[in-house]
Amino acid sequence: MKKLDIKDLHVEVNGTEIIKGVTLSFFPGKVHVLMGPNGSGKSTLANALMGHPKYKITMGKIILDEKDITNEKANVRANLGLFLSFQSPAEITGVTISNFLRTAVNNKKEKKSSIVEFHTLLKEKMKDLEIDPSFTKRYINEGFSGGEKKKAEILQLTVLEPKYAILDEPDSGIDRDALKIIGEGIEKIRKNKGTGIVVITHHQKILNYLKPDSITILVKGKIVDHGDTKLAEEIERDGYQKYTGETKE
Amino acid sequence: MRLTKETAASIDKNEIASTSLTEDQEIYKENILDYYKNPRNKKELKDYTVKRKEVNPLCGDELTLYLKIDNDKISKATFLGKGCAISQASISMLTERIEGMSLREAKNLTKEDVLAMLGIPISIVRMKCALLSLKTITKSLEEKE
Repeated sequence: MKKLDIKDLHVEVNGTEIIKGVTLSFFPGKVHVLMGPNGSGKSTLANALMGHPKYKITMGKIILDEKDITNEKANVRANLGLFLSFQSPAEITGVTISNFLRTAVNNKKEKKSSIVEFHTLLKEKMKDLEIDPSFTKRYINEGFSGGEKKKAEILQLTVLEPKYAILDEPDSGIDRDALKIIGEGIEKIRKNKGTGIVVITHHQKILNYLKPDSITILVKGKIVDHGDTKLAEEIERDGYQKYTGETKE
Repeated sequence: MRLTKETAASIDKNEIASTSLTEDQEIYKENILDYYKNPRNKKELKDYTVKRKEVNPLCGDELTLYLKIDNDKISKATFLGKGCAISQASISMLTERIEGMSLREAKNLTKEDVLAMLGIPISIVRMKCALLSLKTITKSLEEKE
């Protein structure tokens, strides 16, 4: 069966264990929301899934559509259809968005698209996300505002059309209009391409555009609860005190 | 034509378009350079139906076209050649374009089709470079008849 399977995953950063045994499955075309207080290990889990070298998997397995990718490098995982959008996207001076995306797309395809074909596609996707066409010539994220960086991440998502996309707080630091555009952009690729979406978020608002199929709560590197939209509403109201034992101020 | 300083510059092999280009034309220019540097379908075809060589004697562009034709359809088109970016990119793009076309469709290709495919203004001096590809294809198809 096609799914992204995480089996009893343990992840260490600089010798400290952050993820302490997580078992989860993500499915194509479904929206899975990952929530949890700050420092609970959500981003660590995301980075470990993508193969960031700083995050060491000490135990467990990651299986993508029945292929064990636990020890594969990030570029191999990307070509197999895994995608991660960063919470704080890096600026890459000297590489234009258009060049970067065309290289990434052609790397995945057997028949390479020409520059003209690619630009036609890119312009269409940028229009959907209301990104100014001049951005293609700009260096990746250099001098972008917070909202523009988040949009640029979603642009990559819609151009690369991965099988599974892990989106680390795509909704942080953006205004309401941008949130709508980003939310709808994600929903569109899920619907049209059957991409499995994993959203890490602290806010319920983005869930107005994405209908979550399941919600998982992570606390201190462990899964403490599963649920549906109701759970997200509860957390928005009461916080995580139920799980952490700390009272909300 | 007398070769003044200006015309000499305009047939400089590295110069693709001298006039300032719009943003869209810049992309087409980049596209031409990419086809020149990474040509598609640039190889000899062993089991060709038609093979045809054409040259531009004035500027030295050379093209050899190989076509494989099955049931009045171009099933494969490749080329070998040397010359300026425009002439080589033009044939590379055209071979991609005509693959899968019927002979009639390929015969109906016009100068305007080629110029639209290149997408940048082509000066009179470079017109022969741009259209050598089309000439080679048209002549090959005539030869086939």
